[in-house]
Amino acid sequence: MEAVTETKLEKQAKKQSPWSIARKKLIRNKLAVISLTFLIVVTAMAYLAPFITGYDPTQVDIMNRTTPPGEGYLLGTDSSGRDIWSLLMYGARTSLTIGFVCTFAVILIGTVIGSIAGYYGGWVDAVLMRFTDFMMNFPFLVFVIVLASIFRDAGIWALIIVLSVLSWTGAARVVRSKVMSEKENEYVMAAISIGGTPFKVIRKHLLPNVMTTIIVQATLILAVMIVAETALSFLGFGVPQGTPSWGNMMSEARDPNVIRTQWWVWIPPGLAITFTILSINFIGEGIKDAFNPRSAR
Amino acid sequence: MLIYTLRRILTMIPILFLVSIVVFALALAMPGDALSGQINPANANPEYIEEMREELGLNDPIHVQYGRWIAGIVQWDFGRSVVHSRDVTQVIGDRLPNTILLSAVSLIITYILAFLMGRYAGRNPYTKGDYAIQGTNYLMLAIPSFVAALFAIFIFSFQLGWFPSTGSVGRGLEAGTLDFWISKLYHTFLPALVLGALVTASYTQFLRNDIIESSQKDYVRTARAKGTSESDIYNKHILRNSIIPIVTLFGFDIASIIGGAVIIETIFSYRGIGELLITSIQQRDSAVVLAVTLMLSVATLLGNLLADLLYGVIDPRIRVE
Repeated sequence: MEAVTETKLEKQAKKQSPWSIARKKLIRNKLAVISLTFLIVVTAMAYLAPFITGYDPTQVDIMNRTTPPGEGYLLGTDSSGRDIWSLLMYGARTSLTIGFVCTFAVILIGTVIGSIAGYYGGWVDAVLMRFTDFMMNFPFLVFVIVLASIFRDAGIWALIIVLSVLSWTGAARVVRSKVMSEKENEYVMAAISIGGTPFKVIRKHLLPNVMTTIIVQATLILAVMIVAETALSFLGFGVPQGTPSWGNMMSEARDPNVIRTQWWVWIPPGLAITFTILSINFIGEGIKDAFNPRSAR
Repeated sequence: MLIYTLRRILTMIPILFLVSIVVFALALAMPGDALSGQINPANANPEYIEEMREELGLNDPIHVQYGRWIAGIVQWDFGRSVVHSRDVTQVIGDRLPNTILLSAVSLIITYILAFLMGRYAGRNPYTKGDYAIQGTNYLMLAIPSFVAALFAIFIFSFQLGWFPSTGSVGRGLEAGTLDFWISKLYHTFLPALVLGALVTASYTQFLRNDIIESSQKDYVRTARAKGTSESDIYNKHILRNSIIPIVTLFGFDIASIIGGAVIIETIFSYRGIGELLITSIQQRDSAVVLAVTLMLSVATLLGNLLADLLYGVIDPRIRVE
């Protein structure tokens, strides 16, 4: 009898990997689950936009410019007679894609530089970290605006590169400090002593243990990147005008008359951005909490 | 502390040099002539451009151009603005007081709001008031500043009519009079409030959590055991400890305000440095763009330096490396 319960406990203990504990904790976190659902729905709507809306977001309806919501158009039209509802979904596609691509690039650069600096230490670390500190000294938004204005004709990819190149520093610092503390463990020494190459030790042994930090960092960066893209497009330095994006939709509100009388033009994208960022923040906090062994949830 | 300060200031010199090189590289990539601002970008005649380039020495080797540019800056010569037909230093000088006023008012509002809300939420954790403050905080941390600015204009300027929606001062007021300054403050309040929203939210959160954590500590229990009144415990024992870390972040606030000001000033048509940067980029006034970029970079650098020094004052471990 006793033996049976023991094996049961053992089985249970085996199932409880750090990831499965974290997953269970995350599912119990209502706010994070609601946020995750919201983000998935928004992303799905963005990429399935043609199946959801009948209107082409670039189609101009001259007879129905700045129509209030209701009459034929769910959320009304903007000053060139484009349907706000379809603009919102196609805009989500642009804004989210830029956010995801930039986050991927930033995490990649940050992880490579951070793990190399943390693993090797010494002069490699000194050189890479001085470079990181140096990059951190620039006013982010000012440089993004100036660079984006210089490469204005180069399109969306130039914007993605500018945003990514200027924002990897935080991720690199976090990964470095985590790698530095992690490499003191015996298992890393063991991996090195059996002849593991630095690349293999970093990829197979260190990175999986730094993964949770990287994931949390990625959620923060995703939020920052979406805000940066929309703010830049709002100011006229981001996505080319004519391409639907949340920021470009908001840029109509640079005219005070639009703010005052045509609320349906700017409030929907404004709320879409805010709720997306809010849900990303909640997901990030949820993940951080789920991987924190001290949290009591 | 003195040695730490000196060492920290000395390490600024190579960084300043590298920053100047990066900004110089930007200048070469900008349209027109960003270094002296003499070539009119509206004139596209190739002969005129070639003649001017030769005359201004833009065909010289790059290090010669860099040397000339740096020598000019050391003598406070940032070239001329093509659009304004004035020296760049004068154009910036006109706008700088407005940005400084906006930043100062923003910081004051931030500190007052964060102090009041953080203290309330920290003293009454897990109450309705605390949840309301926390909810506001989450919203403030999520809403991008330009969206917040539009909502603020829509609600407070157009719906309620409390504050003006654009400009930095009322029309027809003589500079220097009391009415002029009141009008200025009145125009500054709303943009300053929006500019400080993000920092306010993070400070409130920090103060709240720190107060809750401190209230469990031994020295607080000792104070309670000795019969110190509840308000004395919070105001004298806990608050003083909790506020110090926020003060050290003052330098970083400068850096975050610089980025925010560019957006907020543009939306509110507030005649400051940030709005100048955006309009100058649009009008291809490269000399002004370059000078403002350099100025804001140096300001950020000084902000970070200040943050480090303040941190060294608070935490002695930082001083020994």
